[in-house]
Amino acid sequence: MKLNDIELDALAEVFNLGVGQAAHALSQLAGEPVQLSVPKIALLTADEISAQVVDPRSPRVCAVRQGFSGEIATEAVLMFPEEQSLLLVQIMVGDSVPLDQLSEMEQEALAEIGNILLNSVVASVADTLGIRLEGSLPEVQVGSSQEVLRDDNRPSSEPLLSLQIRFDIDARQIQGYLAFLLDMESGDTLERRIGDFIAGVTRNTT
Amino acid sequence: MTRVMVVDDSRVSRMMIRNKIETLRPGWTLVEAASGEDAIAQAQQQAPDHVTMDLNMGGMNGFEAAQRLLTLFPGLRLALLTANIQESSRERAQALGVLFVAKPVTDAAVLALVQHFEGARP
Repeated sequence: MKLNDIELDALAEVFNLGVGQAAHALSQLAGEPVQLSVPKIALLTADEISAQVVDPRSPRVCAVRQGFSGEIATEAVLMFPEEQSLLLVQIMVGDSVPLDQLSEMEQEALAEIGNILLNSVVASVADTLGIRLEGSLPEVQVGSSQEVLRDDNRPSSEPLLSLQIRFDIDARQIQGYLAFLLDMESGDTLERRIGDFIAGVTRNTT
Repeated sequence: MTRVMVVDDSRVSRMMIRNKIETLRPGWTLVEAASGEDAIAQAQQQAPDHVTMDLNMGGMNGFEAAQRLLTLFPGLRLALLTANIQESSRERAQALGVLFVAKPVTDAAVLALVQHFEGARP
């Protein structure tokens, strides 16, 4: 798989639409504006991806992973520094959950935050490309970025199509990453779908 | 007395939905179910007037549970409250004749549910 410039541009744009949806959802949760980077798209191994997202000040991350399957299969991951997880949960639940129960519910709340954000992006991408994807239940993991991105079912040297988006909630000093990983087969299917998308856009403008 | 069943596999989501509905309508009785199967079992005893339903749950998914509940209780007003906001899910909700509300669980989202339950058109 080798994406040309126009395909890379279209892929970034399609994900941008989805990221916009996720930003809207996150800002609704946080009650604050959310900044999102443009998607960074590259063919990388899981270790190379983790090297890019690691923050030397807080090497342990909290991650919510969710698999999506259908015409393409993707592993969607929300990651942020471990010490920010309780703050993120507090922002989401407000006063709906008593403080003494908050840490007990932290994992469930994080799973739900991941579920909302990852689904926002995936739904938008699926709708734009005219495909339907089914999501698995979200799973929360804490560890180094290598640990949370590792998948025992695939060799660590396998190149993956990776789309990474960094998000920042400046007012709360929270930052993290959304990452979408596709194996080569799904990457090829995505490339074809992007080709169809470009053809559709070109038809409509000529 | 109005009885609402909140169906969601996330305990936190159930608490947030409950809290917001109780604030808006203090007289309503809230019942919680953690899965589609649990919702069907509880509905037989609790006979809810209205249901909020998550979609992506382990076991029976929200569509299947909604369909079964609507067959069992044809007068039920049901709303899907879900993170699965794909167009295909919205279309399926429309075909079922139920309200579709996107998560997160905000005041505005819960107000839309409550108004739907009270008969206002979305």
